[in-house]
Amino acid sequence: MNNPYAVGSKIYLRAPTLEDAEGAWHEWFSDPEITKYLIDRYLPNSKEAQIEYFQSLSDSKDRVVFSVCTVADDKHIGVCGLSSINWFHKYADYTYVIGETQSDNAHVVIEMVKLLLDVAFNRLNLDNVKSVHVGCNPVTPVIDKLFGFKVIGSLKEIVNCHGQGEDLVISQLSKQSWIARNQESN
Amino acid sequence: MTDIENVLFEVMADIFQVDVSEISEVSAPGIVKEWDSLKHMLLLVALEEEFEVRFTDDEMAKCISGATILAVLINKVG
Repeated sequence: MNNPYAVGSKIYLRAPTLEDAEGAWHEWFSDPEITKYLIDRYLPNSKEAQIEYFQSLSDSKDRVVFSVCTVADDKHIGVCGLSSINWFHKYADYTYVIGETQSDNAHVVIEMVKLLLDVAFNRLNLDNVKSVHVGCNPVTPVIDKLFGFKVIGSLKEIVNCHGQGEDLVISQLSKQSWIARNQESN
Repeated sequence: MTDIENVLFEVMADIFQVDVSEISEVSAPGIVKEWDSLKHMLLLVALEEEFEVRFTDDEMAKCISGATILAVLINKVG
């Protein structure tokens, strides 16, 4: 592992590097399959744009981004983070993209969300994490349900998804309910 | 087989849309071809409902095969 920040059994999170930006990262955000449920990725991406984005991260005050890497072979397979962080009210959105799909991708995603929530609540001391997803996304609402997010509401037919107006669904997980669920013993 | 094992395998068969005879403790993504990411998540949701439990983050991360899911469930409800 290289400079690990949060470590699981399968994957770990670390700060992105210039090498990441010069690698396959930019290709993920041009791939229609990978980006099909993303809200704001409709334009082609390039290595130059990815390097520019990487360089902007060090100045960002409202975003923490991690590279998702495999423990076994230190491969950069995705990116995740907390965005739109409000440090005064202590909330943020969680986001992720797995660019290099693994055979046990569900395990990767579950471990990544687990690590990300631990970072949000225990290390950054946030009080709430939000999830915002397009209504046609079949995976995120299931992940959110597993991790205890509650659907708060939706903006109706506000996102163009494959030529159709789709809702933007907003869910919320509070630190208290996250702690309570992880202390439960049935 | 225990009751927990029986119910687990029935739920798995239902989620993956395979015959229950194809499910065992060695079942895992890559072995059961119908076991993809979405169905894995749906399986955990279905098990929470069936056994009336909530998995912790650590327990969810341990659930990677029939055997590990069974171990988590036995520890939780057995």
